[in-house]
Amino acid sequence: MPNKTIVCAALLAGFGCAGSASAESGPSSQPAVAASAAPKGAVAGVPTALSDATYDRIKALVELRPGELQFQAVPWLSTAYEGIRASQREDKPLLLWLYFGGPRGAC
Amino acid sequence: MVCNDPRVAEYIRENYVAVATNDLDYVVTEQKDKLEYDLMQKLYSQSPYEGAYQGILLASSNGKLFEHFAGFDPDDALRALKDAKEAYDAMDRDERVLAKQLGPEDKMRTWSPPREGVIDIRVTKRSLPDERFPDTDQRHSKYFHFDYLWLKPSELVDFVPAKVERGAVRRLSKKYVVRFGLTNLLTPEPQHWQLEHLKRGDLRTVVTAVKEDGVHLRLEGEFALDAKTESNDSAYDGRLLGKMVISPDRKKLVKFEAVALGDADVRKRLSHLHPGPGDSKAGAVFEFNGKTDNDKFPPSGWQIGYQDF
Repeated sequence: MPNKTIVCAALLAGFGCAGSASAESGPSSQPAVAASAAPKGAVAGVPTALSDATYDRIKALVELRPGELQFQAVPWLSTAYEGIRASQREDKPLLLWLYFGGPRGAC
Repeated sequence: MVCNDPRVAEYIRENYVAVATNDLDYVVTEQKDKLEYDLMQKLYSQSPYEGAYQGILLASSNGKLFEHFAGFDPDDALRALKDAKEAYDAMDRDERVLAKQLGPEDKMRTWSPPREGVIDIRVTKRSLPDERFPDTDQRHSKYFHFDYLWLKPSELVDFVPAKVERGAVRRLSKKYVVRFGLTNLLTPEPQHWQLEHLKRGDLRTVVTAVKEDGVHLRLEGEFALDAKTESNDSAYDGRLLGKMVISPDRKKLVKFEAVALGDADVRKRLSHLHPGPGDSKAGAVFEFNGKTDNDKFPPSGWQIGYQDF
């Protein structure tokens, strides 16, 4: 496998996935760890430490929101080889998202 | 992400053959005698970004590059997609479509870890809202990132304490600490953690109940990472909590979810990715992955923590 330490963040502009939030009960009833001091810029109501008391809130803030899986409507192929063959067959241009797997991968 | 704009997703689906893959497969390789490699190099050689291998490339199968961009503004992306499609259509078919039908001899070997039968967990990562971050910063809470964590059904037994009774604790071995804390990159964007960057890590299960559907476990962990390399000068210190239910025969993960939150500190920031401050609250949610072809993607740090997979 290629060494991933080489490139990632070094490119042009960002590639994060932005989209347009649910919760269940926390893991159980262990005591919470002490919350760290609120950082500068903290938004009211946003927890600063993970505990049973903040578990659901943090989950809701982080998990996928409606509309954030639009990219799944595209039938992505996994290699340039597959893409070139399909492009030949369908006479369509190629879109190659080259960034650790693009929307499906780690970026 | 540009493809989460419905106009962009629809335009790609209708007009393009789309590939999402690892750029490094086409850069760090010894398979330079393959036509697939040649075609990729031909595209890169036309890029205005000399030496850049990442981004979105719009091209013809015959090796004509129309666009190479990396912005995430949906309007800009849609414009680029339409311009490239127009340029493609303006070419003669013989000019745009590669005449040689590619065969197995032209294909590079691609990294394809075994996936059959794995317990596939998706990790969604996102920074918590923080007023200091402009929306051009990848740690702004509007951006999410994925990673994946795999377990083998035969590994589930490792999560259950020897004595199955309420309160019993099982400390998990290092490979699981690595998978949860390092290879799944708890920070919201790839930071290239390597094994030596894991400075402290502990992961354990605690029996909370024994019921008909299986052993109910609480998952607890702490991880501290620190790296000082050319591509990653940052640190992470966080905690993980979760819950899981393992079937009575220890072969099925009946329920699973976990949440992690940590203090992330990017000491070396890139102006186009990190215009905000260095420190942020990095969150992650672990849950069962989806089942579509588009969900099939391996853990980012494959091989680290998966040696015996």
